[in-house]
Amino acid sequence: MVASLSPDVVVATEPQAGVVGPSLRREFDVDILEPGTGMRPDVSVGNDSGCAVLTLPMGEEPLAPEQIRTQVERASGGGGSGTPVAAAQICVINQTVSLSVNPYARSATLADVSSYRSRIPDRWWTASTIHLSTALRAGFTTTRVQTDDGDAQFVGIGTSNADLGVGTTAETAHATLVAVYSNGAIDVSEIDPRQFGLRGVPEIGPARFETLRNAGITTVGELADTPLRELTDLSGLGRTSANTVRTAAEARATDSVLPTGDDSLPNQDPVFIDIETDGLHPSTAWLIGVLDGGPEDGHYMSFRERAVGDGSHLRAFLTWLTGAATGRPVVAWNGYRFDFPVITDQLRQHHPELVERWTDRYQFDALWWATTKNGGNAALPGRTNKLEHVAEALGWEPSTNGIDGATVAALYTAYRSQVAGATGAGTTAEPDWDRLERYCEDDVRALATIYEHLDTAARQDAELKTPTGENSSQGSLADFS
Amino acid sequence: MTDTDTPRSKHVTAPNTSLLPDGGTAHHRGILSESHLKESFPEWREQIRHSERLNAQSAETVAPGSVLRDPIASRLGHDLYSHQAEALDLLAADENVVITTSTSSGKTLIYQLQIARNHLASEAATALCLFPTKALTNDQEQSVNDRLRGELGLDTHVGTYDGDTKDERKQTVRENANVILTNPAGLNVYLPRHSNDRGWHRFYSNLELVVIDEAHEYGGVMGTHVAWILRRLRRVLAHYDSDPQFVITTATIGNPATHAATLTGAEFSVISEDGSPRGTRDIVLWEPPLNREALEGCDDGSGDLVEGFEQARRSSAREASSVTAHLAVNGIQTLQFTTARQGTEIGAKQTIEAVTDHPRHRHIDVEPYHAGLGKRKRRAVENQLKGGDLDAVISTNALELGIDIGSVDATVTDSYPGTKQSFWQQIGRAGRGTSDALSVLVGGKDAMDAYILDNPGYLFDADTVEDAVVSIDNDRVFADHLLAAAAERPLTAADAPYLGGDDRFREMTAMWQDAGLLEQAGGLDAGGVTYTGARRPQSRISLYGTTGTDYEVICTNGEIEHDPVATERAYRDYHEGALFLHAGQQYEVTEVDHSRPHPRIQVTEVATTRYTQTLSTKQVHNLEVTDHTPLAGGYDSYFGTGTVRITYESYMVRDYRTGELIDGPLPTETPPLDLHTELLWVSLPEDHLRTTINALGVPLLEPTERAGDDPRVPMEQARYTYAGGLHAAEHGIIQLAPLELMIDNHDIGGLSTPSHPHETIPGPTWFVYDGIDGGIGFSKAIYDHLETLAARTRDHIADCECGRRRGCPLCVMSEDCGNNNDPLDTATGTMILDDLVAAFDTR
Repeated sequence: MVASLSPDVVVATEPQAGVVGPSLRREFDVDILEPGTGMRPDVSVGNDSGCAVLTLPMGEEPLAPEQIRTQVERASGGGGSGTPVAAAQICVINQTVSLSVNPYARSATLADVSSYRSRIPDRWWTASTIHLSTALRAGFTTTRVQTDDGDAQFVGIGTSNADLGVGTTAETAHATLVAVYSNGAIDVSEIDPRQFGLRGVPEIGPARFETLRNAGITTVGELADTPLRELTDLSGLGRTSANTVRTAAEARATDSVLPTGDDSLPNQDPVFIDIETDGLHPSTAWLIGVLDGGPEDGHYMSFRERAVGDGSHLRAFLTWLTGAATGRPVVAWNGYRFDFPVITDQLRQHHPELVERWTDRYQFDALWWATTKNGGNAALPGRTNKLEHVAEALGWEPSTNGIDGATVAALYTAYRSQVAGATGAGTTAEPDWDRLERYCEDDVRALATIYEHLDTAARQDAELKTPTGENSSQGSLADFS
Repeated sequence: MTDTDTPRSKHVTAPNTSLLPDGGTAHHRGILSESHLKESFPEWREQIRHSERLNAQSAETVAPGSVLRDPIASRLGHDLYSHQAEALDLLAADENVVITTSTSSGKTLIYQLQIARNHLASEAATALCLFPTKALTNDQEQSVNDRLRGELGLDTHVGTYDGDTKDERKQTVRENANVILTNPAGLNVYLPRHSNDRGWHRFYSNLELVVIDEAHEYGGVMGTHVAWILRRLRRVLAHYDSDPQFVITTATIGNPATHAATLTGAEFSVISEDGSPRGTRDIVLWEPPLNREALEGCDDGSGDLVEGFEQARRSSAREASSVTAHLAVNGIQTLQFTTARQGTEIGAKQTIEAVTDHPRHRHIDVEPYHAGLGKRKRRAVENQLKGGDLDAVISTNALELGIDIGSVDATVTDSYPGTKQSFWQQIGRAGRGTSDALSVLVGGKDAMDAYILDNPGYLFDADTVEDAVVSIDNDRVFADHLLAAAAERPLTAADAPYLGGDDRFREMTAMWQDAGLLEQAGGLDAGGVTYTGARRPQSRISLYGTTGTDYEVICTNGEIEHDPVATERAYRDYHEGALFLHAGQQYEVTEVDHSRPHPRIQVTEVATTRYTQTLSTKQVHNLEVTDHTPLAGGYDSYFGTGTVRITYESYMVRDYRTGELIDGPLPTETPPLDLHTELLWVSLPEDHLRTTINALGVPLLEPTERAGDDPRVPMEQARYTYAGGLHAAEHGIIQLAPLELMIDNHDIGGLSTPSHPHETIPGPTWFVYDGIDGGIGFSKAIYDHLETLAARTRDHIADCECGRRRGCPLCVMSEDCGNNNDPLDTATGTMILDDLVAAFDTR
């Protein structure tokens, strides 16, 4: 898991924080921080993120920025680039700021904020410092906490002892991945360790995983480097399958899209779409996000229903398609299984006369093309084939925080129930549509990002690309030339 | 509402029947006549303390046509009892009704007919029926089907929907049923599906009637949860614009309207005037003989007092077996209810032994019955009983609730079952319909039993029915159900009336928003607040406790069907080494794992003659007053919240036949438990110790030897004696509280102390607290009834036949005492209660 995520820093959290370091240090060259231990702060600087992560040591002493600066310089290779700490984004990790919930007092409060504040140098008490606590549960972000001189937001990255009633499960939390984006956005997600590394590669089930591990192959990188013959012997797979497995491993190891088939992508400029619904078996597609153009500079448009159950946005969407995007393919991720039929279904309900116009359109499912069409045309990076995971592996960053498709669906369903239950007009309040639309925009831009990479891969001649043991497609190409 | 809370009883009592008249008209009454007993009951020692005859009563009926329309009226093959007609009229007038008439008075027909009426008005109409047990649900499915489809010829679809229902069947029921039968725990987990299942959507949208059967079962912890589940239901229903009527049935309780209202949040009309007929019923109160010499012989001040009493009085279980045997050999089919420590198997064996001692001995067929028996075995016993193939059955209270066994000639109850409704439910098993019936209550070894034998009027006086006690004040329980509600539908301001009222609702919502389990950005007044915690919070609500944590009980060498155990009880009664009885089988706790996410208690089946008694130390702090009753002369009673820290540090092992101490104290090795709970305290004047001891007309007590080893017991004679009085007053009130209130006094605890630092407590005091975190309304109910309870307890302690300063289990000794029932002084206790009663009188 550590190998596949290749984090800049690993933070050990309870329970059994003490065993994390020794077990990981042996295998990986990664900084392992344990807050609340030692006499000095632990400091680590991310390789390319320019982000300094430091943990509060034991005791109550304030941090000394000078001391940290020298540590940072040492940690970042002693480059001495002026004042790295002042310039970098700073993440401070503590283990004391915790939540205390008392249902009898009907209050939930953050404990230990003021003593935490007193340990942070004033010049770091700014909006660009990120406060993380291992005593707050992963996934929990406080609302902004007021202190005398400004406010702060705390992000949970550990486990909480707070009395959360029936709102949490007693199961031990999985590992948590905290992504700090350059714009300051933070994404905290739970990771299931079982989906990781080799186990995430297609065809590698528990049995093959064991076999490979016994042969000393434990990372996707090592799998990608394994000679084909050895791999067929070990895995019992045929040459073609073994080749596919290797390419998949390589795509993951190198965070790139690699061609595996002969098919090409549509010739015309695509129109990217993504729909928001009310769940996995949707009864509505209340928002259709459209991106006309590339991931950075493309023009984004929202077609959103004007009232619950109203289908006028569908008509508007089709009108735009027909008028402004004649002949261009409509591209969606997993569109054949979700977006396209859902829209067809919606049209059938609201505008049966438009169904044909829609189904006659060139619809193109980029995921299907990559993974399924004629045995698959591209190996994808990312720990799963979910849109966000693939796009993130390719360098895409979201602009919205703490929201996903299921949350959006839940917010919408909540709003709809409220509308349905309301007796008088004007009593319902609306969700933050802008935020939801931005989420949708993030997704179509992610799709466009992937599409670009698919396009690049497809333009390489897959025929010329039979790997021979080199670990880069450039090398393979050279062998044939 | 309170003016409708006095049910009128139809019990007609015959005065001056200290013994049954010889040669009564009915055969079986004669069997317990004095002359007959003298002649044939082995070792007859005039055990009958009281007998009461309830005269036959004829039915008051109403022609169905005057209440119901055709075709129901014409298809119904019989008249309606007056109470059924009255209830149906109220339902027609859109009222909610709570029905408290006697066992087998035809309460179920009322809601069955209402369902039929609704169905004729609209074929889409649905009804939801909640029963306390799955066994009852199955019985009722049959009954509802027979009535609606059979007798009334309606095309209704009726389905049970609970944990035993298969998935395919569930889907059919959801999609088609007009009537769904389930239990509150089931409803708790099914409720969230309203939003994503067509079947539930249909069912809730058309819901016209909600039936809550046997609602007296919902008190204490369970009642608190049920009250919130029903509020969540009503809130979801409001969303579907359905506002169903409620029909609640309950055994006779003192506060039906209030109880129904607390459970549901709706208003109710009470139906209590019973129009059903009954035969003559004789009820005999029977006291096991006490060997006074033996008792005095062991009362030397240093010995073990519980032990002495156990040896001096014949066990009620043995005595009950003798009575059952006597009835059975005389051809009277008898059902014996046992609550004693020994199981039904031993009871059956003792009954057969008693028959061999009986002068008229002949072969009789006796079977035990309890929930732990396999389903097939239980059905067999039920059928044999129905078919008259058994002479006697020894049962736990498993046969108390609605299971169809026809009727027997007589019941024998070993030890008062704790509540009047339970007692009447048991004796209702004899002589159903208009046949004559006989019931015997054999007094057990406890203050309640002793009180009832001394004051039989309590059982027969309609004014002394207990109040059911349920509370929705526990904020921890509320907090959990609020999360569940949010997961069912986002919270909005409109939900406040269902979910705790405006302030409480907003504060708790804000708390969960701060804690990140409700959407932080959402607003109650704008857009609603969505649940963001772990999936399906409902599934983690435990109906057996208030903290969300309960202990699973696992038997390592056999089977056990044990409800999960709340933390508070796990600490006290299920420490390693504890012995306990469940469904007639004895178990020993071998291992307790407190640390797992799902803690568990491992037990093994054992067969010993021992029981264990847990000792504890307690401290009360963080008192906050929420209510105060100033009394005259510097006396005060307070109600409020506080933290009780209990350490169950050790336990004793005793023989239950003799009370003899076999081992102990042994360490329990359980950590201290902090309860944030509700409590009341009685604060006495600062110099009360001095004035009481000065006025004491009898010698001071000598501290016992064991008290010398206990640092908490004062060794100075005056202080020791006074502490014994406080302790006796505290015990007495807790033990007799169930006379007034339907509460389980195992869930109440007490602490008496000569001083306490809290500002409201200048002198001696005693506390009575809810032994469940957050409180469940028990101590509040005691606080509200303190005056009556103090007066009753005072009389009972002063008049106890033991006549001992240190009391006995019939007055002030408690098996739940964490201090080995030491010190106790009935003389000082009586004075303290006298003073308290006077302070109430002159306030």
